[in-house]
Amino acid sequence: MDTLEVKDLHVAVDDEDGHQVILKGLNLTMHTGEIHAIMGPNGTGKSTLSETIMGNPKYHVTQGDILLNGESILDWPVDKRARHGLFLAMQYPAEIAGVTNAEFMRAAINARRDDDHQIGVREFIQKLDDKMAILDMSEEMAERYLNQGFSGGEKKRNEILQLLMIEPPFAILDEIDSGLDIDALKVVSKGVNAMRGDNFGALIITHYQRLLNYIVPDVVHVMMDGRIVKSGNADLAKTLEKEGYVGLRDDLGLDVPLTDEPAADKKEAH
Amino acid sequence: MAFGPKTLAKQAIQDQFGPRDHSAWLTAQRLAAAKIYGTAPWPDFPKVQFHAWPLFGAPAADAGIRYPDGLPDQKDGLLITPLLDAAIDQMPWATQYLFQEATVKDRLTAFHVAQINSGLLIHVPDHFHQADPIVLNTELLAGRTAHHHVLVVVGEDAQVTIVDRYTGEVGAKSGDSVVTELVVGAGSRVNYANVDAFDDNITAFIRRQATVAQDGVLNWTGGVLNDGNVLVDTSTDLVGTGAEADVKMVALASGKQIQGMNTRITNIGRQTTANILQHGVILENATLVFNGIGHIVKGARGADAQQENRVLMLSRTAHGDANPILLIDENDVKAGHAASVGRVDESQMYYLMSRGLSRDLAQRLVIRGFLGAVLTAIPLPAVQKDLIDTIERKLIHGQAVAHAQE
Repeated sequence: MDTLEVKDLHVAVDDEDGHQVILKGLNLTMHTGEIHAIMGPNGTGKSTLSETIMGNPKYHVTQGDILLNGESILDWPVDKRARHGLFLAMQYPAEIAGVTNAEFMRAAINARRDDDHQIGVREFIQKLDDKMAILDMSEEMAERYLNQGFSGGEKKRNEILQLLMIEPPFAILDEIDSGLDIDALKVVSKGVNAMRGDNFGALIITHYQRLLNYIVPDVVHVMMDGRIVKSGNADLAKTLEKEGYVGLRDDLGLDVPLTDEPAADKKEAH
Repeated sequence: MAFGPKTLAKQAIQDQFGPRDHSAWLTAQRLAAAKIYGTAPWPDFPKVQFHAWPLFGAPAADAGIRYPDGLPDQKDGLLITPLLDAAIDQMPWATQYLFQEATVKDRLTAFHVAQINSGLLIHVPDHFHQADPIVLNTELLAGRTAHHHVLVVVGEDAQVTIVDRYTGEVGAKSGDSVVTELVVGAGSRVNYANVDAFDDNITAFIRRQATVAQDGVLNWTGGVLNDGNVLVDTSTDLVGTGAEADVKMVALASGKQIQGMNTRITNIGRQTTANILQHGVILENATLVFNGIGHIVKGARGADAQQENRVLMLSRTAHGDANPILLIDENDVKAGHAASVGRVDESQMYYLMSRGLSRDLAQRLVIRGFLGAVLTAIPLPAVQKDLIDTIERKLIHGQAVAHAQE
């Protein structure tokens, strides 16, 4: 069993708006075999958490630690984190012309293997065919350039295809449901569910409960203002759907501004 | 001899080349070029200091080249003749187009024409339509200065793909020149792909001059992957109404070399369309200069001239320039340009590395992606693969050098 731990994580980012502190002491522990979901209102730091775990150099950890099987990974570059078992399905995957999807996935698989155990062409193609069938993807998608000219839905499917091909111990799915119609959502969910098992753990980041009808989580965390404010089982997501984030915030007596809340109830930002 | 002789003596040219020429017409052209050599201006390569390059090696009396794969089959009326052996006087299509005034107007070209010691005349007849490409592989021999000249005349309403690939034998140094004149007849569609991959023992002046007649279409892809210092001038004149040229160049510079490239399209006829796309990568201490020149002359009403020049620098000691130059002498036209000199796209790097690819491998794939717009336009898969492999090899070498310096 592998373990991913996030301890007292504080993260800042430098962007056009200057230096911003986004995560303010976040704690999370997950194991392979578990599906965790993180829900929360916009602007609360969900994507910052996923990018920081993966190792995006734009995000700076100012306090706390991230541990993979007990070892701190903060000093590891993104490629090392990936080879040691982390995977991030991104909201906005990059487009790269001139490099085919299949060629890229083969390179990703081989990056995890030593020179004497590279995946053979036949084995790779068989695996690719199998995984593309799960996701209802046409064969030509493999020979297209990486994400080049893909629709939003095709990009999401392609992220999940990479997940199925690479088979990492831990996957973070960052708003994999955004912009998907119900049929595409079912297909993407089918892909993630195909990974479920003792050797796979996932952190699903979503704004809406709908995705969690298809990928039922073991644990649901609610994030507000850079921290996890409540954790529970799958029912928590349903309660949230009914009562909204404002209701939960007020139940918990939290003093945090929510960017989505209607102007009438808006509290003064502190 | 770095700056070249002040003049070329006509008598010396006559004595050295006259006896070898099979055509008095050719010898006369040499003498005319020798005459203008002393007063002709240097070719204009903005931002490239080439005047001290050893481009003026003494030409060997015999050909300094070979064709490793032989010459293409002559079928369906296709004619391919060694230039020096041809009775050019009896080939009106050749005398009409060889050594056009547009071609022989600078010092380096005049030096070349006066001392041509190998070359080909290629005639593609009217209505020629053959799916197989015409593939020319030319190798410059080490230490044997070549002044190689090729004329390709494509008749009317023909469709043809020509692959023109140059390599050099590794060995003694030489200063060489390669000049190609390409004529696209009315209504013809020509795919022309050139690859220049000389080793660093060769310093070269490479010039390709195309003209496109009415409603002709020229799709040109070029790979400039030399290891030594080179000047590459790629010029197209859109002469006829409705002529089109789409010129895509990819270049890679490494080591300490300098590659200076002029890529020019001149809109002369009405409703002519010009597109230039140049993407280049610079490693180590190399210099790569892209001058994209779009010239719309007076009278070229309805002309369209677009260009994009992009350079990617992979080291802090690399030098790159992307200069769009638009010269517009007519009002009723469209023209546009984009240019950039930048570094590798970090968001693409992050994405590839997030799947476990090492920084070096990710960088090579991002670069291939950057060059992809040009590479994917190359008509023959084998040539495309050859180019990708050459680029890959140079990038791996450049990365190893960079790591050694860290």
